[in-house]
Amino acid sequence: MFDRRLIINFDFFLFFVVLLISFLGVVNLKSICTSSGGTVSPFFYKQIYWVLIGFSGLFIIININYASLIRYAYYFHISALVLLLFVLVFGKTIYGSQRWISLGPISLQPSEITKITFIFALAKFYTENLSQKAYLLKDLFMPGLLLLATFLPIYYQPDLGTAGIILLIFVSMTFFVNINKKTVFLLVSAFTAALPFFWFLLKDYQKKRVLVFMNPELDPLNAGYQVIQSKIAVGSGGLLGKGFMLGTQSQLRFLPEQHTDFVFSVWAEEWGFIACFLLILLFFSIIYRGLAIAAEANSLFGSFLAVGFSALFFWQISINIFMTLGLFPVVGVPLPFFTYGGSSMLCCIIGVAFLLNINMRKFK
Amino acid sequence: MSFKLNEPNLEKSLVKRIKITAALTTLVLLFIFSRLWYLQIIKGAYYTELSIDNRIRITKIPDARGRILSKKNEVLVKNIPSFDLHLIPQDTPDIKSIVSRVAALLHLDPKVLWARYEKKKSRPPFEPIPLKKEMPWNEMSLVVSNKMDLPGITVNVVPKRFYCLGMFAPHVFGFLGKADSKDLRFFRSSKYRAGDLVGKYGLERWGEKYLKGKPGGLQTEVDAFGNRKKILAEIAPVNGNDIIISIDPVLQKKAEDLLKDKVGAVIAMHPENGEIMVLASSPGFNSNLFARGIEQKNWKTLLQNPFHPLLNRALQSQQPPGSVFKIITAIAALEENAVDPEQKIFCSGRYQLGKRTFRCWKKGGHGWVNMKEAITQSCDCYFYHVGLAVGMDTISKYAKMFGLGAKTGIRYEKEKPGLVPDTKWKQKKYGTPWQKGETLNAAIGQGFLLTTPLQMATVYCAVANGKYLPRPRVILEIDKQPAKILFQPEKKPVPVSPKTLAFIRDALVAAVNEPNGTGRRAKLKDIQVAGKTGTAQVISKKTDADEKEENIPFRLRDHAWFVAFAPAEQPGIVVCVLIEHGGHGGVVAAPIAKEIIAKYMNTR
Repeated sequence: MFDRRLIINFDFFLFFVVLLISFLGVVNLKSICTSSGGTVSPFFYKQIYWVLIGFSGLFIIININYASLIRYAYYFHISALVLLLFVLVFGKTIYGSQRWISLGPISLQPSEITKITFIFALAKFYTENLSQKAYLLKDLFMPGLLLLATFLPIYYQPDLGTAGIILLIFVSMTFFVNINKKTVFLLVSAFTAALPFFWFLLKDYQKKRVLVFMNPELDPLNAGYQVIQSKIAVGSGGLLGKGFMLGTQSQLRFLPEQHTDFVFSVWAEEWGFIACFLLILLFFSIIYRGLAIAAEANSLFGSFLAVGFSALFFWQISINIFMTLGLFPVVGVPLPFFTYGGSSMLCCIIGVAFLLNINMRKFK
Repeated sequence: MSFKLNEPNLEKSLVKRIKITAALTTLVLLFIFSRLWYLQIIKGAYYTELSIDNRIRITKIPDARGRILSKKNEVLVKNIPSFDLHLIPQDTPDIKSIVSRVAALLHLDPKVLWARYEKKKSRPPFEPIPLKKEMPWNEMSLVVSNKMDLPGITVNVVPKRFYCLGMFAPHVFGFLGKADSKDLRFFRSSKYRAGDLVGKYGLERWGEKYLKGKPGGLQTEVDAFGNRKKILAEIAPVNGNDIIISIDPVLQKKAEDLLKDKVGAVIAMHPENGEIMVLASSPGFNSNLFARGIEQKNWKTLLQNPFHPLLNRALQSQQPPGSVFKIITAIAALEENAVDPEQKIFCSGRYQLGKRTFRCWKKGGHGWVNMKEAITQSCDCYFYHVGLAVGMDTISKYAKMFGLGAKTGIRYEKEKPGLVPDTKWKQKKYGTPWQKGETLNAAIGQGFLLTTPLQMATVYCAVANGKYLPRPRVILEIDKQPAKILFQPEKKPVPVSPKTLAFIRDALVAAVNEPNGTGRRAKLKDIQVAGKTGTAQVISKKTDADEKEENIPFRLRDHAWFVAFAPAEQPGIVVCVLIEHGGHGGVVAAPIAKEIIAKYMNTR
């Protein structure tokens, strides 16, 4: 029987916020994709298809009880990891890293799917292994292994941005587990001690980005120039912006990577401070709603899932915007619903679909 | 065991943590707002100013490719400025009218210029679009003096490769070309963009990683008219490293003049340290044609030339060595005590082996000759006899000992290994056993045997120095900071007794200095030259009939060889000349070697 409570608990606010953001994302992409001659590049139309596909997927997902998926959580993740390894071996190289599987005209990025399956797998583990006692170091062995198995193949693509997001999601979700205080202290000090070692794991171009971020004058002709151009774009937007499709920085192609890393700069330049303020409020309301859904969920699994997806949105939104505002090295993290790309768009809408799903079933 | 949230403790702790998280999230949100406020409201006017006509520009500063110098520091290859006409669309108010104004000024077709602009117009902003490359001085000054009427037009100085001596040693220097994806993979470097000029051939290719510098750039702030106001950052270009080579320009020029209108190669090298003084191959080409990318029609002409100017014959032409090989047969015989060098053999002009008749080049025969006389007069019958006495596998062993059948190890260019046959090789390759007649052919440097001029030159180096094969060297030094890269002489000992080599040297002196020596045309007045002629048949001639050289089609004429060293008592130079389809070695090749040796002695 159909349960009326499902409709009563449908989070219309979250749904319409996401719908509005997706719409604004498409509008923003229209400005980027339209050349001075008036021709619109196929990126724009492809993105509209992806939004439509994404929302159709959303309606399918909310009809499946998320709690029933706990049984398959590990299998989903293992399949995603297999895909990842497949990409490492056979993937298509774009911008020097292998992230894509080519399926005819569609290029799929398994690392995006992995974010979702990783949240599921970790939520399952914490749900099934939670006890009244606080976690000790040995209890974190399995989750740590799960993290490494996910982090390393993405890191070696190399896709430092997504690998970093996986790590941050792990840290965020683990924050909700009761861990022994000494163990926390131990882990934090061990991590701090290992930081210099991580430096050596970075590829040369990644090191360069970090160095350039700390001192843009090191590379004034390339990465430093990108950040400067992005800041000029944002700053010159002023209070009200230059107007739709009138941003000189973006229209004259001073801005690098406009449809991927620097979409927000285009928005900021053309629409100004007030619109930025509103857009960021919209973005953050997804996070606040996600946290509220976590608090109200009727099962631990639901809470962990909601926390995981909230973390995913929080980190992607913050890092991308920090990057465009010159507050973080350029690492290639997409802005949800704004950055061009089918895999990223699908991943974000699926995340929202599960938040809605959890909320619909919060009745006890 | 799974828990439900109705456990009050758990739920309380979860909600508490969610509240902390929400608070932290709000902090980040406020931080982003304040940053936006700072950039867009407080600094808004400043960034607006910068964004008008975008005031920040990146200008590339080209790097200078490393030069190529001789041992005496003469500059052989360098860079000269060339003037390119560029248009910066963002600085040009009315592109169409400016382009036609430029066309009128330079008497060019405005349609051609417009097409060049259209082709490149989707470049990143402020990247100059080339309208015309390599303007002559008068055009350049015409544009510069009319600069006020041509907003957006600039004349830029672009370094251009210049081969100072014109058509000179092209097979040493090689040439440049536009990098294709294969080159980019080969050089595995991010320093290149498709379309950059890279070394494609010769030293330019071998030395690419040293010669190539790194372009620098300027980040500048300009005013509303595009004039530079302030340099914000500058990365100085790093120039490429110079390469010092062993080629002697005077001797090289002489050799190239002597090879003019002939097909062939000349190698001159120092018999002890292996330094190559001359590496000439004919026909050649002018490397300057490639300096900024070769024009299609010139490239076609080169490719269609039936004598393949792009082939480096000194290293890559594999030919039967003919009689210049006889010293190997002689050395094999002496070292293995297979014949007594004083014992005379009768040459009637013919040599009978079973049913087959082998001929000596001299129709009437040489009469009774010992080994020295046989080398002097290049008697074939004598060496048929010696060849049979020694056997093919022994000849082959000594040929390989002198480096034949293998690459010499000259660094800068691909070389061919040649071919030294033996009985096993033939069985494997053709599945048929070795024939005795084939031993006779090999003994006089014919048949399957193939060598390059460079290989024969190193063989004679070993005879001249009496001890070892030197590794041929063209590149002596790379002027790299902080430490130069030096290429030191390398030697491969040849285990042949000094007595044997002294005998051979003596015979080679006789071959040039005796009145009946085949190399007499290489004789010099004051200096004792030692050398050996070779006339290699391209196809075996079936008839005795004396055909006049002119009546034989060019492709079927004999190859002329001559290898010599001088002064015989203290050799300072080995010269190897191969004239393909040139005729008799003594007539065609020996005089060329003589002139090079004379020039060498004069310039010492």
